[in-house]
Amino acid sequence: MMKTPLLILDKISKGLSSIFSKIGKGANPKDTLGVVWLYTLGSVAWLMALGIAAMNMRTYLVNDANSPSVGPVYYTALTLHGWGAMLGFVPNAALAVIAYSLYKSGMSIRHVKLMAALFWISNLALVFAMLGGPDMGWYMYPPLAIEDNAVFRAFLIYTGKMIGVAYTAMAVEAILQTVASIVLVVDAYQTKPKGERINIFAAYGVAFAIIIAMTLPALAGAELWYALYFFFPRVFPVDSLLWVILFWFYGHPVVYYVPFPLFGALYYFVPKYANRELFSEKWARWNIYLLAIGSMLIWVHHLQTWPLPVPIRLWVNLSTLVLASGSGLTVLNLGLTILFSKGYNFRDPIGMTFLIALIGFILGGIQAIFLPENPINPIVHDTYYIVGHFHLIIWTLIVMGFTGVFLDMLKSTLPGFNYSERGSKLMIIGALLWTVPFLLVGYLMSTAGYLGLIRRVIAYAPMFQPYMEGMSLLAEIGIPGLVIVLTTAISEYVAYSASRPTGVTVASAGLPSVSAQEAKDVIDSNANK
Amino acid sequence: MTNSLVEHAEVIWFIVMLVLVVGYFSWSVIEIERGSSTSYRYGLPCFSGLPKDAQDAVLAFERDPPANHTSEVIDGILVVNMTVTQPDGFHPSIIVAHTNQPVTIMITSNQVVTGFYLRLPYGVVNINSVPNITTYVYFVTPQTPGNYIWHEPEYAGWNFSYWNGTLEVVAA
Ligand code: HEM
Ligand code: HEM
Ligand SMILES: [Cu+2]
Repeated sequence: MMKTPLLILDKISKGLSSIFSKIGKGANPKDTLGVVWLYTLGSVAWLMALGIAAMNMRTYLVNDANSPSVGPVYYTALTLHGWGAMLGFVPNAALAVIAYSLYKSGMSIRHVKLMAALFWISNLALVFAMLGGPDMGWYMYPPLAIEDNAVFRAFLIYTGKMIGVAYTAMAVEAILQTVASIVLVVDAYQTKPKGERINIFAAYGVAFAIIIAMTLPALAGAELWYALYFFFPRVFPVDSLLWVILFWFYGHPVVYYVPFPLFGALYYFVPKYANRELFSEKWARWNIYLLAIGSMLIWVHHLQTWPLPVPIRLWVNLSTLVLASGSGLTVLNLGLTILFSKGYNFRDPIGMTFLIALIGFILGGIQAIFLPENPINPIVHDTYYIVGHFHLIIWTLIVMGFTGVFLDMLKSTLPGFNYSERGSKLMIIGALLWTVPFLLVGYLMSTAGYLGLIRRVIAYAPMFQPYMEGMSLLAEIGIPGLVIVLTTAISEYVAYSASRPTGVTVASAGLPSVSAQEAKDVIDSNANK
Repeated sequence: MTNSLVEHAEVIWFIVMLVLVVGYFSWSVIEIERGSSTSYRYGLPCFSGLPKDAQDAVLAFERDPPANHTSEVIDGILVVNMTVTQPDGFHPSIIVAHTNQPVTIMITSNQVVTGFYLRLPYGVVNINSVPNITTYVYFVTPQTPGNYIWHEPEYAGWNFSYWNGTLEVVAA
């Protein structure tokens, strides 16, 4: 009688110790998958931090008339949320997905130590800047973001040259992340199997590692400009319009850092779960050029209500639509793959999360298609319609797509491991429990924005209060869904690794002895099961 | 038939997309030319977006500012000289106009990036104002008297939610 609980306890403790040893190893990775895990855990940590900041904001937002003294707290939370998202979660998740795409294509990371060092220094630099209590929202527009007086303050805690130091740290972060993406490109080039084409996942991964390397320096430059302003104000005055244009040269592409490598993942995984070939691999590969080049030509669509010449605004109207058609092509290619399959396996949690990512991107894309229209944009610019726009895509394509990659990573880490039927059901329920409420939040945000709810306000017309309450409530319902997916996956992993007689170290320690190509074959045969 | 459609799905898609993009974009250009639907053309920053008579009114205002330095009716057009400052927002924060009256606002916001967001029964005026660049807003007041509140739409510090003003439209 007593034996069974003890046995279970023993298994759990074995499993947990394996997780802890993994985390310990994770901090100092030994191989490609180790690097993937390090960046993944980093991005999940940022996701948790930004989620906590978001729910903190939501508690204030249900009140339609917060006193201005709530402002400093609210905007610190908003900035932590925005930075945690765009400077923390996004680059780490993008690098994790790209590194994983290399692994899935039989390539590997040679500069493991370097990648680990870049990870730690860049993330700690961001943490350092955040400790100052930033207060200016994620786009840090000047002159607000360099204001250092008693009335308004860019950082609640840092003042004077310390602000310059904080911006220097942020520039260091951006530069190191740029270096990390270059390292991935170089390693991919050097470890590419001879005479073989890299798979579609890695093709997207490498292409967008190059895009990161080309656009992230713009952010570093913008931040350095701020830093120099604090050290030598006379020599480096900040021109608001120029700074903002520079910022968006990074600020637009950054929103694609995760989605586009995930498109590669969708191209790779959706056919597996549809049990057929990708509808058109040729178009999927050609599309890379459109998406990559296009993503750098449309950034001024964020400034359609700004004092810029009409031709520039017409250009971003046109170019954004052309790029959107490229995204549409992705959707069509994947949609036809599913449509002409004998049945898509959405009973597999990975199949399901990727399906949600695809559908979510369609729904979000339709909501977005009005934004680049010059005559329409002023109706919704700076309102919750925009907040709804990007969260719709983030919550579905980015969060669910990344979750799918995460679930597959667990399988790659422990060859032979797969999710049980019960666990799969639970994860699918969790994924839907997350997606449905958050889609509703996105639509509530869009509606309220269209009706005139301005973004980033802490006081608004009473008519919007029911909308705000609905958003907060639905977010509270949805968050446990994601928690269910991740905890189920991890506990199944733990249970499986504990039950294996050979112990638990196989995965990360054992991999180097297996060639990457062999590992990939094992994984592929798993996915096809 | 279905098979060949499937074969050429991307080509079909490409053509459909091309038609959509061209159509949508041309519509956009035409709307801007006509200045209808939203404030885009006439609310355009950079001066050039103002209709000719409003441009003339602004120039007349600048040549010979009124004693109060804030507003004057020139050829039927109400010209308002507005500044936005921290920490208290719009100056002036009340504009009184007649029904069906053209209004031009010159916005100067040298301390921080701000904007002007006003919902009228027939559309939205929404522009951003950048330090050291004067921004022009143009709209025609509604036919019916009433109060309309404009807002500061761009984040400009911890109390910007409270920066707003009232357009009082009175019977002519
Ligand atoms: C269907 C394709 C898309 C189109 C046509 C589109 C268009 C736009 C436009 C025109 C804006 C500026 C709106 C404004 O401020 O007035 C915008 C903002 C934004 N978009 Fe998209 N977008 C698309 C896809 C995406 C994707 C995939 C992401 C990734 C998450 C994304 C994230 C964002 C973000 C974060 C902002 C707002 C940034 C901010 O103001 O804080 N968009 N989008
Ligand atoms: C837990 C789910 C989330 C909730 C409830 C949430 C909620 C919010 C809210 C309410 C705002 C707007 C606040 C305002 O305008 O005053 C906001 C802004 C924003 N969110 Fe989220 N969010 C969530 C997840 C995410 C994720 C996963 C990302 C990106 C990876 C993200 C990126 C952003 C960005 C970039 C902004 C703009 C910040 C700014 O305006 O400075 N959010 N979020
Ligand atoms: Cu953009």
